Amino acid sequence: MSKQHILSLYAVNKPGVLMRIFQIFARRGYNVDSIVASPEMDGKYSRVTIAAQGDSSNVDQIVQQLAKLVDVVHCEEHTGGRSIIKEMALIKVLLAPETRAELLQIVEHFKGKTVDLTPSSLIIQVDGDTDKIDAMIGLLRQHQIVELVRSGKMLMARGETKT
Amino acid sequence: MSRSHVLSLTVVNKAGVLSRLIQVFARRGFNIDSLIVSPEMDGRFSRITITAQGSSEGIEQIVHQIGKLVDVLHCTEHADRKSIVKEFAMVKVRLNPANRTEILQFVDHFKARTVDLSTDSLVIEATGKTEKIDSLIEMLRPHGIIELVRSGKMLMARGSGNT
Repeated sequence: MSKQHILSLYAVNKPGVLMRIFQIFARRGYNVDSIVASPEMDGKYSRVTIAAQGDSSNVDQIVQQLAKLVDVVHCEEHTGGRSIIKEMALIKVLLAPETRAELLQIVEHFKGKTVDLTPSSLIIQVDGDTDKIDAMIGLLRQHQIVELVRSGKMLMARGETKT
Repeated sequence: MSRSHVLSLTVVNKAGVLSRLIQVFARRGFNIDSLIVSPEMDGRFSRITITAQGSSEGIEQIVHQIGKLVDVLHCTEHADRKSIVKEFAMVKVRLNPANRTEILQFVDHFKARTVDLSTDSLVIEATGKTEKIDSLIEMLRPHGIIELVRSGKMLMARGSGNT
């Protein structure tokens, strides 16, 4: 059965590591939905969160193959329960004087923030669950979205344990 | 002179595009600081934001080379001035009754939010400029950061034009 899997990796931050990670997905025909890669505190390691679509039966194999890479410190698949999954988005919508009040109400309802306002456009910053962001985009769609940047899913285990 | 460059790309959302893209960087020995990939509105295209270190001439060549790839619609380098650059982070920090008040004050000051609280740990969610997140991390470091997930830079041009 094909569904979305979220993997969290801890890897050495140097050229070529990301490429080897992607090759494993590409070779097995997984399409990567979103990737978030950025350095950890000291810059020597990176935290990579990958959301990918594919056959559940070989996700374990992918995890094992990733973990075997020399530069990958650890790799784990996460199921929703004990972890926090968040996303951030920047959305640019067209604005007219008649629609401004309505747009600002939508922003307020979803606890978003306006980061740029011009007579004809508005940029909204919003963070939260994927579903919440999807719902907000659904509402804003009627107002003509110019462009959209999403961070993709980011994950952290609840409590004191490491992800 | 080596400095940090932010590139914004629109690409066709299919398997294999990313690894070709990353190869361009790897072949030239550029290390990618952060990478964000997620689908655009209708799912056919993806928006990618890459932060990489290197010489300006080197980056210019990379921009040209990437622009030539079949599945890349456009690739631009952005100077920070006319664009909004934001980042999202989750920080897990060690907590004890003695430092709880102080940490919650930091959270308040940086307009961050707490997303998980247990007896000995706290997960904080923060959004904003890279420098703001850096200084929040700096403040929390003495209290013991258990782990950190950052989105890396996300970019959108100001005003109603496309990025």
